[in-house]
Amino acid sequence: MAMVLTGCVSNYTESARTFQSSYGAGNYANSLIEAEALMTHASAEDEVVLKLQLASVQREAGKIKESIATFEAVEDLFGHYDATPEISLSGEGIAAFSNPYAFPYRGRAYDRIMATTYRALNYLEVGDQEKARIALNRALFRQEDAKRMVAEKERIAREEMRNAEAKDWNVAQATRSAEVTSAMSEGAADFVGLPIYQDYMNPLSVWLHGVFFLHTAQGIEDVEKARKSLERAQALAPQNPSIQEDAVWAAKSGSRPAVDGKCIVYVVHETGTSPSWGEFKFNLPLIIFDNNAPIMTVAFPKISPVPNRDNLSIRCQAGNFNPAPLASMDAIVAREFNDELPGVRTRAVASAALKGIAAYVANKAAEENNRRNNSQGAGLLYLATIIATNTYTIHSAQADLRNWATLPKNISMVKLIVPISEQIYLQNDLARPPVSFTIPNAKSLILYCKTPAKGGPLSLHKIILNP
Amino acid sequence: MKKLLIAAAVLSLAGCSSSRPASYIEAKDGSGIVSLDKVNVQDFASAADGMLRSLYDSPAFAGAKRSDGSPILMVGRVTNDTGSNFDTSQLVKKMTVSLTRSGKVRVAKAAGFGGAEDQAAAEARASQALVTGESAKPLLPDYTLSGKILENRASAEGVQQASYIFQLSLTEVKTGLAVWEEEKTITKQGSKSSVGF
Repeated sequence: MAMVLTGCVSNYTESARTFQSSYGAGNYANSLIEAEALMTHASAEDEVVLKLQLASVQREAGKIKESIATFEAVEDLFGHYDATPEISLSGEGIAAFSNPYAFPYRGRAYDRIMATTYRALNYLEVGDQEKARIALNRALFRQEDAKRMVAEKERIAREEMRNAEAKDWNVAQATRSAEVTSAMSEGAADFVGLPIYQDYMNPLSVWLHGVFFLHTAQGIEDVEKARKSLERAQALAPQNPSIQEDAVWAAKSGSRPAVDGKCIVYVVHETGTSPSWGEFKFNLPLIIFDNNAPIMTVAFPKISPVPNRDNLSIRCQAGNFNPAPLASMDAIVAREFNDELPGVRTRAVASAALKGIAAYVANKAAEENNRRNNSQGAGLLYLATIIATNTYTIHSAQADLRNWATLPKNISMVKLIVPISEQIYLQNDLARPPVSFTIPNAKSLILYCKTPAKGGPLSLHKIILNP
Repeated sequence: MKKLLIAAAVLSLAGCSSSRPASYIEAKDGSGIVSLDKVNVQDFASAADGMLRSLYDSPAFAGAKRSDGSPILMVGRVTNDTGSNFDTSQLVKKMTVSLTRSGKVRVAKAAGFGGAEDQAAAEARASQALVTGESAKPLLPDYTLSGKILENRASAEGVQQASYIFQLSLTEVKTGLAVWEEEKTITKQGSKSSVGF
C-alpha cells in the first residue's frame, strides 16, 4: 500500500497531450488512433478517464456504435465505483501519500452526467429511442447523485484533516497558512461571472430530457415529464427563448408538437474546450525554524479557461439565426473543481507537512551523528541526507490532472421551423464554406453540431426525434 | 509506515479469502445480490408474483366468452422508464407463462404490438394460408396487457433509496376499458461506506 501511495511520478499528462492537440484541431481520425493507443497502455486507475475521451473521439469520428459500446463500458465502471467504498486516508496514509494517480479516477459528477447525455445522443442517432429514454432518465438521477457526491467528498476531506492534525498539530498551521490560502484562489478570477447552476444540474441534459419526452411522448405523463424538465432548463438558461416556447407548449397542449409540412429543427452547437488543467507548485512556509527543516513543496491542480471558441450561424429562407446559450461547461467544471479543492488541499498540504517533519527528523539525526563523530564521512552523510530529503519533498509533489479533456466549453441551441426538403446552411467562424443540410421528411429533429475551436471543422449529427 | 504495511498485508490476505465458489440460490428467498441502481432478478420475481396474485383474484377474465376456447391476450408495450437498462420481458414473460398454464388465456404470438413475438409462427401462418388458398384469419385479441416500470430515487444522511414501480393494465379490446390494473413498488436502501487507510 505504501508503495502504491508513494509510486513514481505519472506520465498521464505527457501521454494525453498529443491526443488532445489533434482533437482540438478537429483531426478526429488521428485523435482516434492516439486515443486507442492510450487505451492499450492504460492502467486500471486511468481507465475511466481514457475511456471517456475515447468515446468522445469515436463519436466525432463517426463511429457511433463503437462510441455507444465505450460509453456503456464506462457506465459499468461507474457502477463498480459506486459500489466500492471511498478511500479515506489516516494520518499514516496521508504521510505516505504523494501520488494521486495511484487512486483510480472514479469520474466526477459532471463526467457521469455528460457521459450519460452523450450516450443518449448516440442512441438517438442510431434510432434506439427506448435506450435513449433510459439514458436520459439516468442523466437526471446522476444530477441528483451530484449533490450526494459533493457532500461525501466534503465529509472525507474533514475526516482526513482531523486524522492529519491528530498525527501532528503543525499540519493545521501549514494548512491555514497565507501561502495555502493564496494558492487555493489561484486562477479563480478567470471564472468570475459564469452562471451558477442550481443543484449541480446540467442544462444540456435537462433540456435534452425535456425535448426528448416532448417529441416522443407516449402519453400525457411523458408530456408532463417534458414540461417539468423544460421549465427547469428554462430557469437554468434564461437567455434561450427556444426553451421557453417549448415549455409553454408542453404546459398548454399536452401533446407532441407538429407543424404541417414543416420540421421542427433544434440546432445545437457545442464548441471550444473545457478548462485546461495545470499544476501550481509552491513552497510551504517553514513550520520548524531550524537549518534542518527541508523545503516543503506542494502541488495543487489549477484550471484555466481555454479562450478559443467558435460561433455558428444558420441561414434558411426564413432568415439568419444564431444559437442562444444553453450550457457553460466552464461553469460546471469550475464549480466542481472548487468543491473538490478542500479535499485536494488537505491531502497535498498534510502530506507535504508530514513528509517535511519526517525529513526534518532524518536531517536532525544526521546532524547529531555528524556532531558526535566529527568525521569527513559523517559530514558527507549529513549533506547527502539534506540533499536527499529536499529532493524528495520537492519532486514527490504532484497534482492529479486527470480530466475528461474532450468536453466542450459552451453549448448553445436555437429552434427553427423549416419546410421539409428546404436546405439550411450552417456557417462557423473564419469564413469556412457553409455546410448545407436538407431537411428530411420528419416532424422534429436535432442537428447536433460541433466545432472544437474557432474555425475548426464542423461535424454534424442528425438525430430524428419524431419521424 | 509499519502500520501501513501491516494494513496492506491484511488487505491482500483479506482479498485472497474473499472469493467464494459459485453456488445456486433461490431468486425469491432474499439471498440474491441486491443492487440499488438496477432491477434485480428477485425484484422481477416478486413483482410478477404480486401482479399474478392480484390478477387471479380479480374478476378480469370472468366475462370473457369465446367459442373456440379461452380468450386471447396480446402483450402490448411495457415501457422501461427507469434509468437502468433491462428487458421488460423479464416481468411480462413470468405473467404470460402463469396465465397460459392456468388456461385463463391464450397468448397471441404470431401477431403483436410492433410485430409478431414469434416471427416463425407468423411466417408459417402466412405460408399455410398461401398453400390452402384461404386467407389467414386475423388474430383478434380479447385483451391487451401493457404497462410501465418507473424509478424513483431519494437520499438522506448518506442513505440512498431506489424504488421501482411496476404498473400493468389489462384492457378489454371490445370496450377499450381497463378491466384490471395493478401497481407494485419495490424499494431498496443502501449506504456507501468509506474505507480508511
